[in-house]
Amino acid sequence: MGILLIEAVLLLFLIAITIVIILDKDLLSSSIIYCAFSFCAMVLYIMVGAPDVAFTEAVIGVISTTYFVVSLRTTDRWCK
Amino acid sequence: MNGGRSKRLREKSVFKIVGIVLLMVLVGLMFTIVDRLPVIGNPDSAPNRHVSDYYIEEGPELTHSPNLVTGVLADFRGFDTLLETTVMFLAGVSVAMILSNRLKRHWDAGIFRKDENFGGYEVKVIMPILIPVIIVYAFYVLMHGEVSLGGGFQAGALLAMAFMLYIMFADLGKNKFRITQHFTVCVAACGVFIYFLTGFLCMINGGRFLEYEALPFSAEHGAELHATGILMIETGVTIGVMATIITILEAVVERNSLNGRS
Amino acid sequence: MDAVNIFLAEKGIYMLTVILFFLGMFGMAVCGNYMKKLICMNIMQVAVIFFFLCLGEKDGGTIPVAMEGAAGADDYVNPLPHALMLTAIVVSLGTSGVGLALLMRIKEKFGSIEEEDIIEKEKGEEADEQHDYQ
Repeated sequence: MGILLIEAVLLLFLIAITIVIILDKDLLSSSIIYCAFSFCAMVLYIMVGAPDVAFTEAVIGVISTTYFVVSLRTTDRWCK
Repeated sequence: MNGGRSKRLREKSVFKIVGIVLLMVLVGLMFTIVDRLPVIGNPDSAPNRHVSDYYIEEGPELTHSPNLVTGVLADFRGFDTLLETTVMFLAGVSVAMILSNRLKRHWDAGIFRKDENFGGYEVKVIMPILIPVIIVYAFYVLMHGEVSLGGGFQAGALLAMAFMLYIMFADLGKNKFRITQHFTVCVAACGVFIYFLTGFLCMINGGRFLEYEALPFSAEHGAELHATGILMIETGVTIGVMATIITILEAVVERNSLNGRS
Repeated sequence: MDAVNIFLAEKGIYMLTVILFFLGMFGMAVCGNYMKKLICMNIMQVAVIFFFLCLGEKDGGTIPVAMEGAAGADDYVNPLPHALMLTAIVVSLGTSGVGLALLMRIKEKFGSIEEEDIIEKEKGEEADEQHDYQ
């Protein structure tokens, strides 16, 4: 029961981060918050019992965030 | 002009309200179906029967790898991993092709502005310590993929991350040898080729494609050849994934420079 | 009350995962900026992967690395979804990369990555073509 409670709290945290990403107008901060999203997902994967997947998610989350931030130099930083 | 703008705002908020209503309807629909999904944690539920018991019980002996996930990924389902590496390579090729047209204004731009220098002493001292540690850890993860957690994908991504750190902080004007996206795409192809080569080696020696027992190396039991085969294909996967990630990064960074916004 | 508790304990996690997935889909449909649509696509992917990993859980099971103490099939978590999801994560990285490359070309051609601006610019180009034909 304790593990399920922690999983539920982490999922609620993920939902809150999603709402922030949708409502934000600054694309640079959305990308950095996506890195936090990836970190919470990684902890969630460990709770379910998949450390291999968590390892991969940790590394790939950082690389994905770097892609988004680097490609922001050409596209706009602010959205309407 | 003003009438057009307020009409667009009204259309946009109507769109959002319709979206929220549809979202709640869909979520409600899914809640009624949740009843039929398997119970979390039940060892007898449908996904945990049939093949998985065989993989768990016979896996460590047949594939000679205590890490069951690597055993399933590289031995029992090796064909899936082969095609996945090919898909990664195709993604690298696509990015290199999409971002390689040259407009007229690109031909006069300069690449890798040489006067940009991040050199504080933190960068000069920390980066030479950090990057070799990451590379050594990546090789450890690759070699130990069978025994403990790890594997080819993680090692390839770690190597690419070490390269990314180097690109971000080094003084690139001093390099005579530039690593471009066209070079790393060829390296990714080499990685996929190593994977295919392992499969064909098994066929040459009389086995089926990717049947590790027929590898032309000598070993005491047949199961040890499985470990050699898994190591060879994980090397192929590592090289493929690392080169694809570096390709995408290099293509995007070079396009930034050509657009004048580096 | 007990039935609700049991239901939440056994299947409650699915509901939160479904909410996350559809929230990502909502963001993809409603946001006008293409970069944000790409980020929402990655959010949907995390929801799907977590759903698959939930299906492989077992009560009292440990991580799927063979250890000396445990010997039965009931002592390890199901390793098959883990292997499939490893592939899925790495392929999604390639998809994001291709999407960003396309975004850069769109920006160079149309001058912005907002949906409304691009639609207006395309309408303007169509109107110009009709004028030419007349």
